[in-house]
Amino acid sequence: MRREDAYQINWTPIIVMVALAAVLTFTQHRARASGDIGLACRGARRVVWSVQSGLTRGGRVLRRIAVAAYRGQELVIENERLRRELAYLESEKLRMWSYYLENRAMRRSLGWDGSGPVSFGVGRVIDWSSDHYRQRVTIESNRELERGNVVRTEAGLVGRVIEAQGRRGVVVLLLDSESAVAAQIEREGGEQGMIYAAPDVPGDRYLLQMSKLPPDADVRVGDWVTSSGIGEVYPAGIPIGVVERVERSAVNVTSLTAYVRPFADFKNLNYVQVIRRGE
Amino acid sequence: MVYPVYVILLVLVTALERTWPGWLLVYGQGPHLVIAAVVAIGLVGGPVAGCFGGLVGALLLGSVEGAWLGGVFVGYMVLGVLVGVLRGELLAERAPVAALVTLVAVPVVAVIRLLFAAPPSPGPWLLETALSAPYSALLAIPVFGVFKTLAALIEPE
Repeated sequence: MRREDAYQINWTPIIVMVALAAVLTFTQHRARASGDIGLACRGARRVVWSVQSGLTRGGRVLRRIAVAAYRGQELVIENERLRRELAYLESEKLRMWSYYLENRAMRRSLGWDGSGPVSFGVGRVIDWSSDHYRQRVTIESNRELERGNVVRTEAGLVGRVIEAQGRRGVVVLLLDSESAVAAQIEREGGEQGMIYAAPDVPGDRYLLQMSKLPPDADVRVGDWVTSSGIGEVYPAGIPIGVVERVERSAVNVTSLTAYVRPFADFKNLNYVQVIRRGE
Repeated sequence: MVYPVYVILLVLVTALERTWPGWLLVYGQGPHLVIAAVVAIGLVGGPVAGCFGGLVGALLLGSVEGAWLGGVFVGYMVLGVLVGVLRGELLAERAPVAALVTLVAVPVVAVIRLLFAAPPSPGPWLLETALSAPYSALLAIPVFGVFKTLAALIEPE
């Protein structure tokens, strides 16, 4: 469409598309009111998430190739060192195996069945929300996800699934402004409070704050914070982080806030554990 | 028909924008590739194609972001139609123009979306917009190249 026909724009399809957009918006609003996301959004997500899954996998392969090309000599040395460590660990494994057999024999002799291993799903992060107030990720798990599944790493709590679609789901992170976790100081008679994101700390996106603490709370730098299980959203005892500093409000001296450095490495969140209720 | 190709490219671009590698982020900020794609479609195909690109791009991005679709539709579709209408009048069908338009479009779309869903604090929003606009403009050149080449292959003038 050049200058000569610039004034012959066919507005009909544009009006139809605007109407379609209005219908989609209306449908989304209605679906959200009933706790759903709508058919169109669901379909669009399914398509984009599938491509993202492929891109994430492909990106990792490319990265490995690039690293191999860049650090060739270094990798050979590292490989030799790891082989030595592997040989050592193999011998350790044999030793542990003998301990396991001994332990099993002892349990049988005591008539105790013992508890089985903890089962959890494993998730891979395929989408990151990059804005400052909505800290969410999308994960792809090795099993069906459910709304309310708790997500953590080996180090500590990450968040929980708020939207699930098959094996993929959106996880609201502890750093999200809408996240709240009932927590306690990990000490005998430890104080209880709530863990929120700490958006007011400039230059530090990865800090949490523990508030709603009693005015005379005994909270010290270096204290560990774990989930308390109150409210039954998160199970009790999951490590959250360590108290980095404690501040009393200048305006309200009864208001105490502990700033908590999370154990989970939110900067490099690639793989996570997914725990169902009761696991 | 070039429209199915636009849809496929928009899906790819949306996935790429949302899976942008961490080591390519500029101060934690990635480019707005879907805006660059809508600009490219508007420049290559005109207002109807631009509107279509805006509709599909907004639906894909809004769904993945979990955003309210209204503001996203308005921002992206207005951009697509406007670029298409001005094509040949004010805007030449060239890659540097796509980059310049994207540079302006990123803050404009951000302001439109802000009107529908305001962020809690303006500081981070301003910083994000200021960083992502030039980054998106830079990447608008290859995005425009891909769209133009494919459109020319499928529908030669």
